[in-house]
Amino acid sequence: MPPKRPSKANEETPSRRNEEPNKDEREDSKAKIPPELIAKLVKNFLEDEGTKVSGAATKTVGEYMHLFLTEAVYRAVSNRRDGDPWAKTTNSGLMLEVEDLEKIAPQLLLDF
Amino acid sequence: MSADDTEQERLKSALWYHVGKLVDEACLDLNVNATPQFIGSLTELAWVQFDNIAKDLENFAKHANRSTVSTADVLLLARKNPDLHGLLQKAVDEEAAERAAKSAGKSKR
Repeated sequence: MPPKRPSKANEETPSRRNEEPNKDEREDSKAKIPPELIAKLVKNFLEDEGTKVSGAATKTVGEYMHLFLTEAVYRAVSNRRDGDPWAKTTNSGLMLEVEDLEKIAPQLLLDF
Repeated sequence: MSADDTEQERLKSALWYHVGKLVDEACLDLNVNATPQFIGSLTELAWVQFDNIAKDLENFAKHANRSTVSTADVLLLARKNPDLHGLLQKAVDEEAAERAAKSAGKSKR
């Protein structure tokens, strides 16, 4: 049985790689949530108006969320590979669905 | 109230966009694809996580009699996960070294 979308997966990889440099000029290839957005999001959820967040702390929260999100994707993929032996042979064409996230979410939240 | 709601929606859209970019990058490395629904749900998860950690950070700072959240508070978030703590500690150290190098360069000139 062939992967669901083999041609699409193979086509998209090189074209997206070419886009990468112009897509993100600030950081060298590593996609990051901008610190300004992190600061706004944290501020949005604070209960006390007087609480401030230092610049270094904002950057560290950014790193924390980056790890959280990347870990979610990696866990979803590794969970799919273990659960589905057919996917073990070929990784390409694997589509991550909401159910994949549902399966790894409880442990992910406990670990973060 | 409705003005606040639109602000929330705008923040969530901004988060959605960046979560999408992050997921795309991770998917490229793994040679997989993610459905838009996956990205949407992950955004929702990150949104709730932001709510949790913001309140934790605020209380950590208060407990230390500070009104400003510092990197020490963020490190305290990872107290139950030594691997995560190590990674965050590395990020904090790099940031501090960068800052020190910048201020040293400034004072020389």
